[in-house]
Amino acid sequence: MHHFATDVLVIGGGGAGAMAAYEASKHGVKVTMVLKGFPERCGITIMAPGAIAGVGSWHEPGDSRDLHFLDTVRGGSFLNEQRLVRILVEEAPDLILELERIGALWQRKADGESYALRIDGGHSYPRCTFLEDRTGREMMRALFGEVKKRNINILSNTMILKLLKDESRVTGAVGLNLETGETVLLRAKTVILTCGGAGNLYLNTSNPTGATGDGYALALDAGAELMDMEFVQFYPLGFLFPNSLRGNLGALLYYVHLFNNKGERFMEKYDPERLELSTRDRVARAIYTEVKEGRGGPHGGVFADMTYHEPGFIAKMQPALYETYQKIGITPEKDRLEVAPTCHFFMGGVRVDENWQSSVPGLFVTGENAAGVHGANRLSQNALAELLVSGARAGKAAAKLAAEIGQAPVDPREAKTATELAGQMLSREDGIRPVTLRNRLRRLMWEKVAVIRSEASLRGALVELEVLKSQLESQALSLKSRHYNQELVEGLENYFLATVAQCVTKAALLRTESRGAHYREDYPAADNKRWLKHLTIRQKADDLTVQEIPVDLAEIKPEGGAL
Amino acid sequence: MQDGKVTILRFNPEVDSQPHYETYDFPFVQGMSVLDVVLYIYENIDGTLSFSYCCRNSHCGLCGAKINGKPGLMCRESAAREMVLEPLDNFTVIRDLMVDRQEYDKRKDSLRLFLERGEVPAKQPEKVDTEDQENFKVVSRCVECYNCVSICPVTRVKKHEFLGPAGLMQMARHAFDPRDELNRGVVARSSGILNCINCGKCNQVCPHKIEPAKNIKLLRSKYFGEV
Ligand SMILES: Cc1cc2nc3c(=O)[nH]c(=O)nc-3n(C[C@H](O)[C@H](O)[C@H](O)COP(=O)(O)OP(=O)(O)OC[C@H]3O[C@@H](n4cnc5c(N)ncnc54)[C@H](O)[C@@H]3O)c2cc1C
Ligand code: FES
Repeated sequence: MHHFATDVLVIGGGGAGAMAAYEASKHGVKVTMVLKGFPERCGITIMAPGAIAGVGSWHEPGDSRDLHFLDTVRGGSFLNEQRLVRILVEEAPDLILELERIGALWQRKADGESYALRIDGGHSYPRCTFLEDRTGREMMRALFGEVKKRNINILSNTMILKLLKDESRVTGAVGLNLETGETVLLRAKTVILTCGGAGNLYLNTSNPTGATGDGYALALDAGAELMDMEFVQFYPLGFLFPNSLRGNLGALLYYVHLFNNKGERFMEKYDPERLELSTRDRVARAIYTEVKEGRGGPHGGVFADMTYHEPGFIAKMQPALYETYQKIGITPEKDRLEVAPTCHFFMGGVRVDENWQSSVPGLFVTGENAAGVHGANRLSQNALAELLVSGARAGKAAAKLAAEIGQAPVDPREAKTATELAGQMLSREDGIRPVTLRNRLRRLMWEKVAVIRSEASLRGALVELEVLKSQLESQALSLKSRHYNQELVEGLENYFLATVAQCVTKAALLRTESRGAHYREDYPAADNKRWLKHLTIRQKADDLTVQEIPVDLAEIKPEGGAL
Repeated sequence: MQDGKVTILRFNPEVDSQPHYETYDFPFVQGMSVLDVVLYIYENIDGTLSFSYCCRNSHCGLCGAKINGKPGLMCRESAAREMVLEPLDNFTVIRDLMVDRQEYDKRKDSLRLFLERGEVPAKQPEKVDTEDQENFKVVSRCVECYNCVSICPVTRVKKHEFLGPAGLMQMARHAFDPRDELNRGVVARSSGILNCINCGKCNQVCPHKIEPAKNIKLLRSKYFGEV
């Protein structure tokens, strides 16, 4: 067993983790970052093409932070924690500049000085800073530059399997070194959890392979509360073919007309005025319905038509996508692309306070792993802003707290138990392969707990999830090696995914209304009287208990109840 | 659907004494990617097949392999009905198509790959020359897939004297940054930049069209006045 001690332990090396580590290291404490993959090669942040929302000195006339606040809360159907949204809109702009101070370079207007700005769904003004189509990667490069400069210790290829705590606070974590197979025991004064989302819960996802909700399950197990887990965002236009591309973002709503297999431009039925430019959730539901009712294509999607553009238009506007189209044998000038909704983002996560500290003292949670900022639906470009703001706040608070307290003792026996699972899986001769179980889970969630839900589908899912959960214990591997064993990682991740699946399904069943990304066909309207509330989940022994808590409406309230 | 055949160089250092080729059948569909093929084998034929991937979309740089002799990202390249897949050259093989990138990652640790600058201007955002930003932008597209390192003939013979194109692209990002104050010529020289023979092989395998050879030339002219 490998023992390790640090002041602040950052779990996860995406944008939120890197920001937290960078900030914490400014405050004179020892910071260690542990991540499941390799730095700048794992997590969702490196994939984010878009932009970072924030109203700074460079803003367009008429735009303001109040307006950014309003857009965010309206977009979130008033389920956002308004204190957190206020922090987001006030603090994101300076962090956008901060990234430039450490090496990022955002695109500028012709004057070479003011930022070029993007607008996207839900924002009233262009207010999002970017670099080409790889804003997330640019953030990561700047942040990891600092991580290296500051000699922050990085343990890569190490998967955390359990958080440790005593009666009063979190005391560290246990992981598995995926290169050596060794158990790693990490003692820490404070922990910042930043494991990103859980897109791999669904058949179609835009997320990378490691996004399996580990952070949600780890926090739940440590006694923290999850909140808003029923709100899962689906991007309407994901690729379906080829399989390796399944779920990746396939097209933009502005550039397509959507048709079913009968040749009907079906959005005419669902939103005759805005058609494809309706909100993402509506378009996603429309596609899902068309396919379910038998009007879909051979791969289970609908057809995105781009042939009405002038030749060369798509190639000019979306060069990277155009190249992908060609590789898979689609010429947008004459062919149609089959697309379907894809799981993109988790609005829910760990409930946190203004410093992104959870209800477990010393455990901070940032980025997509945390809940509260986005409410029932996230505005585009707010996620990158959130990971900066939450990372900076948590990094600072975790470092300050760590400077005040001592290291608590931990019991190495606990570490052993946490990694026993891996040994069992490796030695089991016969059983079910993790990838088989994973595929079943993803299909089940897609069919019963995805874009359109009902009491019947959700109840059915809960029963099937019990079965799947029990099958976790019979997972067996083809490759018996402890070194770099992807199958072993998948098997361990399946435990986290199964727990997250239960949380999403339970909360979705209880919320008898439709709001934001959560749509119940048996309760198709929003119900502000009954449901302007969060659902939180806690783990008590082996049971998940759900509770209703009020929403923070400190600044604005919904107008007349209509959303 | 048609029959496809793929031959993969397999090697598990824990049990094999020698690498060996194995051939698998797969259902070929026009437009499928190489990654689809290895995933198919992993899921349906042989779960011990080892390879790396993460993003499925050219961002993480992990899925590089030699596809019919030419380095490429498996998630980006279209599959052919008949293919040979081998691990990238110039890297230590961990197992099958999985190679050790950390050896190379570590070589970059001493390059000071961050913005070096005394003071930041009072007014922000600051003015940046558009042309300078253009060069910076191009090399910043690198995802460090190391396809270029694996095909580089100089790296093959002078592994320790020549850092190779990928590392030099990382350095170029900072060298081309108009705000950076460090003279990176010293490190460029000690990284063996003058060994580059400008053969242009790296240009042909970069998935993000960076043209490393051209940028190495730019770096050389910046610091050593070469044209
Ligand atoms: C394709 C795509 C495009 C997007 N585009 C945009 C956009 O343009 N603008 C925008 O605002 N938002 C966008 N988003 C959303 C946004 O990118 C993400 O919400 C955000 O990047 C998440 O960052 P993070 O740091 O929280 O998580 P991640 O970047 O996912 O990082 C998670 C880290 O945790 C590690 N980890 C996970 N589990 C463990 C474990 N058990 N042990 C140790 N480490 C672990 C991972 O390896 C990784 O390093 C996009 C999302 C996707 C999928
Ligand atoms: S899987 Fe990330 S580059 Fe291919």
